[in-house]
Amino acid sequence: MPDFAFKPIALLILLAVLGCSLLGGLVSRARNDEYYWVSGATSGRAGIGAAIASNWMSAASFLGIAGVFYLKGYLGMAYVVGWTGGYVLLLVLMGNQIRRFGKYTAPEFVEARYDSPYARLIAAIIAILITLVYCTAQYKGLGLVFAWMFGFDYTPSLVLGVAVTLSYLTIAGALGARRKQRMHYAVLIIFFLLPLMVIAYYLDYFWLLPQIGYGEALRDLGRGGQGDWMAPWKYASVYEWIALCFTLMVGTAGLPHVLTRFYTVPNIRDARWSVVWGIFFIGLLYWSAPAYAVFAKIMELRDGLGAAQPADLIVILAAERAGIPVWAVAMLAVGGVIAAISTVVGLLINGAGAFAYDIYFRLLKPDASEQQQMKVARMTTLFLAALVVVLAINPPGLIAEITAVAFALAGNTLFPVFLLGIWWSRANKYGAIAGMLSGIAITIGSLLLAWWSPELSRFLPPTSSAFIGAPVVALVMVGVSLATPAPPERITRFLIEKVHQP
Amino acid sequence: MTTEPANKGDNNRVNFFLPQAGFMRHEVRLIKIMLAAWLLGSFGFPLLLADSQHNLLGESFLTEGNVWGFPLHFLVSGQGVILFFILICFLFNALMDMLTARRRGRRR
Repeated sequence: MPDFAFKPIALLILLAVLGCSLLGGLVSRARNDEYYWVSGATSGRAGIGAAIASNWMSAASFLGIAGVFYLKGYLGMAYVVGWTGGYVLLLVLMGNQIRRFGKYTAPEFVEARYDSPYARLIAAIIAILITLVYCTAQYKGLGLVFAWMFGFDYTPSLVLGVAVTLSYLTIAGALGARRKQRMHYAVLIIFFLLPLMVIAYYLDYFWLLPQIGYGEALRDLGRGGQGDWMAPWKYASVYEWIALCFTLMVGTAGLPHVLTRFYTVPNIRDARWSVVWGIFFIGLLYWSAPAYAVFAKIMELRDGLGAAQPADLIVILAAERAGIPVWAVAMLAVGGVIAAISTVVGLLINGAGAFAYDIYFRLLKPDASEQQQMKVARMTTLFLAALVVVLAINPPGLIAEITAVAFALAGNTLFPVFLLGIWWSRANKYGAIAGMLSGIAITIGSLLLAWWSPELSRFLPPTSSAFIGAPVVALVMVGVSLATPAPPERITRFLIEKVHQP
Repeated sequence: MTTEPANKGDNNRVNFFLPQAGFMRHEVRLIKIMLAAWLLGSFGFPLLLADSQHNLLGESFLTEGNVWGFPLHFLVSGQGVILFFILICFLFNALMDMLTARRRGRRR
């Protein structure tokens, strides 16, 4: 990684944004005292849509996708299509039914539907594993941006980033501030789009709508002999493209923290309609992300510069190379940091909750008091945070790629469990347990395969294993369920009378 | 709460591929139509790209066509598909609203 200088203005903007977010959270607490991260009362479907989008946008969206475009061209589109189409799949296939089922975390759903504490335990472990992988990607983004901001090496920047995240979590928790979802979304999207417009202006492309303006830049790239970069299968075959896209979609539909946010809405119609807004708001970012990579390529072509390093910072480096004002570059860095911090905080709380509630309270110590649970949750948060630092010191891939592995795990395990749980009453606990275990095995197997044989790994890439994994796990569930006794009658009744009635 | 065991062979009381008459059947039909559109939007285009390619890089008339400077495959995957997804969700919600309204009306 190249040496970066300290940018005081970026630090100022970061402190200002974090401060405002705390202040805003405090003001709204005065009006209504809901728990900090889990819920945020938002009014109107557009508002809920913004909340969905703000919950969704992580460092993978903000920094990661542009990095994939920069290195792997059209393969980046698999991320764009996969991470928007996943919401369509979730809404159409299971949204109404899960909502009517009334259990919004994966372990709760699994216990209620499959009537087994062991299945719940496995689901909780999966939720924690997903948290770990997902957070590793976020930490990488945090470490890189902090390195750019402060001019430290990667590892100290990583530790600093984690320290900032944990202190923010502690302060917000101690003050009881609520998270302002809509404000958070507004900040993220402005911090992403405004610098892009400035870059387009500086490079003489149509700057009012850089999402359209980068078309001309693509044409210039083609004329400049960079046509190969745009070719569909230059960096990945059509199979790899589709497998990745499919994996990201089923992963989205199975991710615990997406489900939780998706359903903390008062009524089912508003929940449904807010998804339309949610995809639009997420789309605003995805329509724009490729432009950063294209503009970075254009500058290489024009000025004969070498490749920008590291690719995961291409959003920031493109802005820097275009020579736009430093405050606009700093906006991008700050946007990346707050996207990462908010995602990490949400995930750590989810993961710690899965341990403290689903494992410690429900299985190990049913007589634990609420205070004991809270204490365990706090300690788990710290433990998970420290564990992720270790994982993130030598990140094994691009931010978006690491994130995709978390999606593959969700798609291989929780997606089939939800899908068959909702749509096939005969699915039972043996099927669910066998299915989740084989899903974990397939995910780990794909990682081992990548290490053992890169050639074979092209058929089962770690980022895309759910294309084969999800159908295989569904078949395992069907087979094992049919070979074992049917689930209790009351569960089938519940499915018919509650879940599949309007 | 009844505790009688489920009848033997009664495996399909809730089954996506064998929906029960009434609301579930209507709902499943709607879901199938929307899923078909989703499949087409997500995977139809890359398959078409692969089908019409004239070299291993995947270049074809679809990557040469130009709209506002965009090669067609960038425009479709990067912009069009998201709009199409929003349209699918919009239609699904509108039809779902009609379905539940009709159902509720009949119950009264």
